[in-house]
Amino acid sequence: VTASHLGARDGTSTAQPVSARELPGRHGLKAVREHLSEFLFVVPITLVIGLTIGIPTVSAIYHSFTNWQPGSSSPWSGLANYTALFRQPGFTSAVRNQLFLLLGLPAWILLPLALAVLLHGGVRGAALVRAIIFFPATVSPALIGILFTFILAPFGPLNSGLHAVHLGFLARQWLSDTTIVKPVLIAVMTWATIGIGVVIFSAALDAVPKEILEAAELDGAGWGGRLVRIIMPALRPVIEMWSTIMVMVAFVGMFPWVFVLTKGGPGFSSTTLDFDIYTRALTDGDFGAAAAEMVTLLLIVAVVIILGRVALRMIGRDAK
Amino acid sequence: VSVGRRPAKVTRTGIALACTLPFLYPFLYLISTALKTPIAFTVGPDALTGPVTGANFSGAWTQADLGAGIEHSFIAVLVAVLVTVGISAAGGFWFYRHRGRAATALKVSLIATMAVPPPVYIIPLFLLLNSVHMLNNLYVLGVVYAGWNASFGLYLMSAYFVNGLPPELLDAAAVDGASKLRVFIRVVLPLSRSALATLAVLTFVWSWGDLLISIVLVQAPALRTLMPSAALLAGQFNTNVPVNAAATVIAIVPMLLVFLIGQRFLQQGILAGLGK
Repeated sequence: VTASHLGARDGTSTAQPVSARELPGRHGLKAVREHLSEFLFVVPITLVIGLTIGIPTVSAIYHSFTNWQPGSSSPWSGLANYTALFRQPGFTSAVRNQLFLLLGLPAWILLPLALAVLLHGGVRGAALVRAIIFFPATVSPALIGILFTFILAPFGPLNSGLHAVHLGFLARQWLSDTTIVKPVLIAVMTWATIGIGVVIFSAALDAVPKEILEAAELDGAGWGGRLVRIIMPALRPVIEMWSTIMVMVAFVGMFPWVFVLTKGGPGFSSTTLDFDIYTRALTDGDFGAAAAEMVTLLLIVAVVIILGRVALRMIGRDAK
Repeated sequence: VSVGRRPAKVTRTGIALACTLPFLYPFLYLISTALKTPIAFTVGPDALTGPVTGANFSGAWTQADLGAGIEHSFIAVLVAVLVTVGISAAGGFWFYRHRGRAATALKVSLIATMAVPPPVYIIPLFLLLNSVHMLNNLYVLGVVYAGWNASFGLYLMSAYFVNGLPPELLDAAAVDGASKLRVFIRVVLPLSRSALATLAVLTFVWSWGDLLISIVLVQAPALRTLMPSAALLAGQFNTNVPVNAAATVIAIVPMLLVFLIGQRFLQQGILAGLGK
């Protein structure tokens, strides 16, 4: 074996023609195999996303223009689903409720920002504080909902705590009072997401050059002056992005909280589009109008993203 | 820095600790309630201390069938993590090497599905899966989770490869005659361990916490995952708060473990996601 091996190595002149003759075929086969294995890299992700998101989304858009009867033929019905949907109290309430939720935006931005600035200023045990505040962000929204059904129960700790400090007049039926249930949802959203905001804003604050801050301090700028003149402008892109994310949560991430805390009630006073789609399709069996609602939700998301992009671009121009 | 600033630091620390109370108290209340006897709960529902019992945990475990729920969630989430990480890394590697117009268009449209929220496609997906008899299947649920997470995964891996994978490395490997698959497995994957871990942790957290997709696609009570079990239990046995609280604690624990192990990756991932 060794001898022939050596021979092959030494006798390049005899080995060369053989391999040259073999090369085209082998090379072709190898190229084909390489080509096929090339596609193995991109086909799986295309298939998985296409089958689980692509086709169902196209199906929703198409069927929103039909009298959708799953399992049998779905005749074309033009805009009938949309006109019917826009008259449904569940839908109109959901849109109004979600616009109301956006009133939480200042809290969603200012509270984590204030905490991040506080921690940035130098706090003993900052990592621990950050971890405690971040923890709710890792607890599933459905479980946070369950947790708050205890806290907000009529005889739960929030109301009895208010009574204990002689603020009993503030006690409410937090989840069954139409005037208070939406602010309660805003508060739960704030509580659950503030930790992510703190992490994001902390990272952005760390990226602000220390020299600039020190120079401003030497120039006599106070803590507030530094905040307004240096930190806030530096953080504007991050604030914009965080706003877009939170607006998205308000429009497409409410299902677990609504399902567990209120079931959209009382009446339709806390329903949201995602919850309304779920009940319209699976409880009422009105798939056509539900499809129109899915498309409406998709359009709302598109508008939010485009507005976010436009705002970012304007900031970019400001910076130049 | 200077001595004069020490009091300020003490004040800030005090404020920061006070700010943690609204986040600590609900969890303390939850745990103390879960440990209460029914009588102790009736007498003093708000007391954080008192006689302790483990009965609520066994009650919650059997009543809501949480053990089965955890097992089902683990199956679906494990499939989700493996598939998401696999297809995202492979796809990201392909798009790293193919930057033509068609490839870029495909990549952009795959990543753009990140903007399509589950409420938009979950009902049609439910009907499609129903027509091919693939509802109530935990592996299918896992693959749907993968589809849900892979758009972000592709974004993350692509960004990571572009920034962290020197082309010379691949050229060197190609000169050695290694196939693309070999290069991918032997060189690319080991180099991207931290990005892969980030993606795995985020996929775990998001899939584990999902309620909507699971409650629609797996409606058979015998196959329910943890979140629907817990959410439906909360509606069902509203009267027995301590048992409900125990169920919630049980449901949080697996997440807590992932949080403790993967906190670094989690925060990294969230920051990476900001660029999207």
